[in-house]
Formats: sequence, C-alpha cells, structure tokens
Amino acid sequence: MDDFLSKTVDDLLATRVNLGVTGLRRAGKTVFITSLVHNLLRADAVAPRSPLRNFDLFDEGRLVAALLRNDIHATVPQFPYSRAVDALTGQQPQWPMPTDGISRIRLDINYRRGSGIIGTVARWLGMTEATLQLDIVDYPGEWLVDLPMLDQSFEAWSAAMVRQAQAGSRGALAHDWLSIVTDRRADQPHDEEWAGRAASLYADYLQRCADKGLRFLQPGRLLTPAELRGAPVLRFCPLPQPDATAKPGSLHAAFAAKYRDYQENVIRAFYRQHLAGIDRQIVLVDVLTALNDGAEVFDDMSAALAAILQSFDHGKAGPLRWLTGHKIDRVLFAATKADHVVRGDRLHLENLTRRMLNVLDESNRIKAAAGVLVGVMAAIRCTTDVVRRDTGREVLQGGIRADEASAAFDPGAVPLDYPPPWDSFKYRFWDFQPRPDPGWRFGGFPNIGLPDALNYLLGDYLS
Amino acid sequence: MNERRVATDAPGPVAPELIIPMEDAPGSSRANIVPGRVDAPIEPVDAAGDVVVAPPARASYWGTAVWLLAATIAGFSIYSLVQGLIDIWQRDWIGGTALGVLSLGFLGALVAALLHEFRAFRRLHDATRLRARLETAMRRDSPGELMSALTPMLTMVGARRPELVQQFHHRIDGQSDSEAIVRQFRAVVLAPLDQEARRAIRRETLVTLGAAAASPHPALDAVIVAWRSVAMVRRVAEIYGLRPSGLATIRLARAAVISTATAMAADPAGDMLAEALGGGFADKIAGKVAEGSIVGLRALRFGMRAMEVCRPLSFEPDERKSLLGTLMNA
Repeated sequence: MDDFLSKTVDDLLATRVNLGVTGLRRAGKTVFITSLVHNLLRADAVAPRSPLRNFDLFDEGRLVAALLRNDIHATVPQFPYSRAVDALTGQQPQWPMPTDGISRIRLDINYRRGSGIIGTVARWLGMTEATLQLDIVDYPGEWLVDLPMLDQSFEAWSAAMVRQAQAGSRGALAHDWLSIVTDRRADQPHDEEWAGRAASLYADYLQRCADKGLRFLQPGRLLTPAELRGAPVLRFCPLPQPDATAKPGSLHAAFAAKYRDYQENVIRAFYRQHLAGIDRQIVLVDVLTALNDGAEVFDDMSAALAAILQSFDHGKAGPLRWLTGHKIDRVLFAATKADHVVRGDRLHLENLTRRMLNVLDESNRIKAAAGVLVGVMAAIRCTTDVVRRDTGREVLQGGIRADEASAAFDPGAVPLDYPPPWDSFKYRFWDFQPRPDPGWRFGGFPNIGLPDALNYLLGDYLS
Repeated sequence: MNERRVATDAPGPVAPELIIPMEDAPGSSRANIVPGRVDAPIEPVDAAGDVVVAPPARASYWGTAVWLLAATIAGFSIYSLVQGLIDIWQRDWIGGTALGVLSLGFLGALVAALLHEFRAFRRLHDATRLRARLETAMRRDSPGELMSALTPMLTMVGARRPELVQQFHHRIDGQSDSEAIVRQFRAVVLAPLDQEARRAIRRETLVTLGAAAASPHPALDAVIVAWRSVAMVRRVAEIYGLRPSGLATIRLARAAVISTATAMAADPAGDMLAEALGGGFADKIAGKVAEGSIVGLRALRFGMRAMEVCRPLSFEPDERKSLLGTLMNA
C-alpha cells in the first residue's frame, strides 16, 4: 500500500510527455522506438563511443537511469521491445517484424535537474532529481493513412479513390476490382456476399499497391485488420458513380452506412485513444526508398503524409495549456535510413527533406503553429563510412544479405533539386541488414541523429 | 556548319548536340557517380582521432628581414665586445679573464631571455592562425582538418588542465560530424575554462574595487588599475593557454589605457555624487564607493573583453554572460 501510494505521488509530480511517432508503413517507426528505448535503458556515461553522445542530458552527466514501466497501460499490448532487440542482436540479426497492431510503451527517465532557474529553485527545495514519463505508441503505418477519411463523405471518398485507382500504374493493379464494381446495377440491392467479394478484391488491389511501395492506401484496415479480421465493418469498398439518393436497402446505402461506421468506430476510436494527446511529434519520412522506387511512389508518399499531417493538432504551448488541451508544439521531420547515403550526402538529404515540407505542409500551417526542425536519422546504423582508395570517393560498407560478409557499396548521390530530376539523378537504395555485433545488446545501437532528435523533442522538459 | 559555329564564336544558335548541362560538365564530381558494388580497395573516412597536420603557411619576408637585421646588430655587438675583451686581455690578462667571464654570463642570460621571448611570440602568432584554421575546417565540414586545427589548442590547454582534454577525446571518439565535435569542444573544454576565467575576473575586479576605494589619491588609483588590468589579462590568457596576438594586444592595450583614464575621471564623478548626497560622513563613504564601483565595473568589462580576445572560438549567444551574471555566477 505504501509502495502504491508513493508511486502514485511520484506519478503526479512527474512530467509526462506523449511522443507521437508518425510515419507510413516501413518508415522505421518500430526500429526508432526500439533504438530510443534500448539506448536510454543501456546508457553508460563512461563507455567509449556511447550511442547517446551529444544528447545534452547524457553529456552533462544528469541522466540517472531510465526505467521501463510495466504497470501502466496494462490492458494495451506492450511494445514488443525485447522481441525487437532479440531480433536485432541475435545470431542472424534482422529487422523487426512489421507492426500489425497497437502497442504502447512507457519509459520513466530519471534525471538530475539542471542549472536553470526552475532547476536551481527545485534544488534549494531539496528536489534534486526528477522524472520524465515518456509515453510512446506504436501502430501500423497503414492505419494512419485513414485519418483524412474522417473529413470526407462516402461519395467524395469514393470518387477520389476511383480516380486514384485509374491513374498511373495503379490502373493495371485495380483492373479486377474496378470491373466488378462498375458492372453492378445502379439500384442493386445489398448483398453481403457480393460485398465481401468486392472488398476482398479491393484488398488484393491495395496489397499489390503496397508491394510496389505505394502508401496512399485507404482504408488501411483492409491491409492490416488486426483484431477486426473478418469483421463485417470491413466488407465495403469505394463505389464508382455513387448515387447519393439511393434507397435504404440498396448496395450504395449499405456501403455508405459501413463507411460511417468505419469512420466513427474504427478511425475516430483509434485517433481518440492513441493519437489525440500527443505533445511532441516526430515524422519519419522514408525519402530514400521512395527515391529508389521512382516518381509515382515518391509523390504518393508525399501526398499521403501531407494528408495525414492535417489531422494533427499543432499549436504553441502556452500558460493556459491545461485549459486548452494538448497541442503538438514541436515537430521533427526526420529523413530515416540516413546510413544508406554517404556521409557527405546527409546534408543533401536533409535539404531535400526540407524542400519536401513545401508539399507536406503546403499551407505552412504546421510551421506557423509549432516549432519545426528537419534532420536526418538512422535509428540503428548498419553501415560504415569508408573511402575508395583509388578515386577517394566516399562509399558505404555493410551487408545487404544476412548470410553474406559485408562489402563496399556505392549508393550514388542524393539529388539536390526538388522535385528530383527523375531521369538524371543516380541514387540506389541498398537494403543493408543489421550487422551481427555483440556490443549492441548491452551497449546500445549506434545511430545517426538520435541524440539530436532527443535534444529537440525532450530537451526543454529535461532542463 | 557546326565547325564553323564553334570556330567563329559568333553569336547565334548553337547546335543541341554541342550542349552539356553545367552539372554534367567534366570536373563536377556528382556527374560521374555510378551506384554499384565497389570492389576497389577501401579505407575508413577521416573521423575525429585521425590527425592530419598540414604544413603552416609561409609568413611574409618582413619577419626574415627584421630578424636578419637583429642578428647583424647582435653579431656586430658581440664582435666588438670580443674585440674589446681581446684588447684588454692583451694588456692585463687578470682583468681580461674576469671581464670575459662576466660577458659570457651576460650573453648566456641574454640568449635564455631571448629564447623565452621568442617562444612566447610564436605562441602568440599561433593564436591568430589557429582561429583561422578552425574557421576554415568548420566551413569545409572536415573532421580531420578540424582536429588538426584543434590539436595545438588542446596541447596548450592540456598542459594545465589535462583532464579536460582527456574528457574531450573520450567524447568525440568515433564522431564524424564536425558540428558535433565543435559543440563538444565548447561544452567540455571551453565552458570550464570560461568559468575559471570568469572567476579570475571577478576576483581581480573585487581587488581593484577595494583598492581603488581605499586609495588616498587618484593618481594611485590609476596605477592600481593599470597594474591589476595587466595582471588580469595575463591571467585570462594563461587560462586559455595562450597570449593575445599582435593586433589583439594593441586592442587590449588601448582598452587598458581607456580603463586607466576612466579611473582618473571617476574622481570628479565621485565628488559630484558626494556633493549631491551632502558632506560629512556620506562624503567619505559614498564618494569612495561610487569611484570604486565605477573602477570595478571598468575592470569587469575589461576582463570580459580580454576573455573574448583570448578565446579560441568566439562566443555563441547563449554562452555569453552579462556583467552582472559574471559578477554573481562565477
């Protein structure tokens, strides 16, 4: 009882930060969270080449210890931290499995107060140490793409989706589904079996798009249903030439009802429960894979991210924060997988991402409302920077298959212009795998840019 | 047709096959990159730790000329001294020997003093060059160059505070981002030195303030201020491991002169304040304290200017402290 009481009082006094890790499918959310948690848990001030070096709290020697809390969010699946670390540091290291459901993790960061005004006053009062509670949620990136659907009617959404399915290389992939939905009769009555068939064809089409690297795929639950596998709410799809005046009982009316159901009970529930209380946001942008996959994938990714970011509530934190509710006051746009370009190109990658903001935040809404920083990041660094002895050009050393010894690869150069000159730039994304390094398990993951991200996202809380 | 166009350089249309975009022109390193597996031999990129020392730039020939002139004069002097000694020795060998021993002793002491001055002069010269090299390395984003520029500075600091240098090397081990290295240099090496310099300045300020308040005559104030100012500059320079360079010494000397002049001028100011407050005891106390505090403030400002001159990197906005901050927080 005493223990419970003291813990509760501690929790009341501690500062809590909800870190929103935002990113599309395969952008590196799980790896980022794993690396963040693992590096904080394994922080060692005297170790040489510590992965947290340049994180101010760590450099100043004020980080006491980080602690995984297992007693919070007991009813939500916990982020599979140890499974991910096992996968990355095993005999045959590999990237963790793609996330297929919601999970949360709570990390308590115990630190000594700094020499600022508040810190000095607190130390006079005898409170030398403080706790920052870091709350992180992990989810499949596909679900995030659903957020823009909240503001759309079924008819508008259908029209947009059909237009999208007919454009570019999606046309061929969507052929089966498009032919069945366009062949239906105008006043066809609702038939659950037909609906199931159409939905599964639509899901096949989405899956084929996902395999090609496309990311703007709605509804995301058709790709990763998690606990909704087989649920009737997922038996719908966009309809061409929707008829807004359809009678009740018709196919169109039934699909529209399911769409509303999906909006309210799936998307809004997910948003309310897991994304509404975010204080700080990191947007992981997988620029490099998209560059490698070509213009269509790149534009598709930009459009998806731009649409998603409109759904978040950005705003400066003021003294009335407790009254006006949570707002995101700092956003970090991080180009992930920065270890897949040569050292000299990381600045170019950052600049390319910065120019991408003109698409992601076209109206400058986020820039005006919150602090924005652009950086590059490799949450787990799996290449080494080396130089060719004959030409002096920087290249990367790493392994692209788990069973192969590491070799040197030239990834080419990241384009300097935006939009990238698609026919002339030469960049190749080599799919480097994590190295087997026994030091990773106890010393933390080497990385690029993680300490700077922590400085920006949490620095002011930890002063 | 085409040849004619090229040969004449005349204004007019240019055949499309003759045009290469600027970026693809030979010489641009980004143009001939081909992504692919590399089988050529490789070596690690320069990270912090590998030190490449570049040869120092050639100084101007005026220095050589001046040195040669000095050497000629010294040669003549030594030659005539030896000549004189030989003359004396031929006439009176006892006196000659005594004078010879004395002259040798004098020459030895002179050489030792000159060597010492020479070393100080060279260090002084290094300070300016060091700053320039650091700035170039930061602009080029080359960690190897940055480290080789920092090494002399680290050696100078390491002579007095080896633990700072050790800590710095520990922190930058394996880093290949010059911005991060400079940040660590500021945090690990410069911040403690700043703290120490501020403490020294505060102590000197208080000493000057107290001495000026207690001195019976304005002329003595001036002497005290000049003496303590020079001591303070030397102390601050020592803390940063160097002496201020040529131009900086002139600037500092000018600041010292102004500082001294204000110490003299502070006397009438104190009198006016004392008159305003009304004679008697207040005259004695308030006047002296007002003078003293003006002198102290001057010394403080002077010390901070000395810090800026001696520091290898200029202050970042958040590193700079106000006068009051220096006085209270040191």
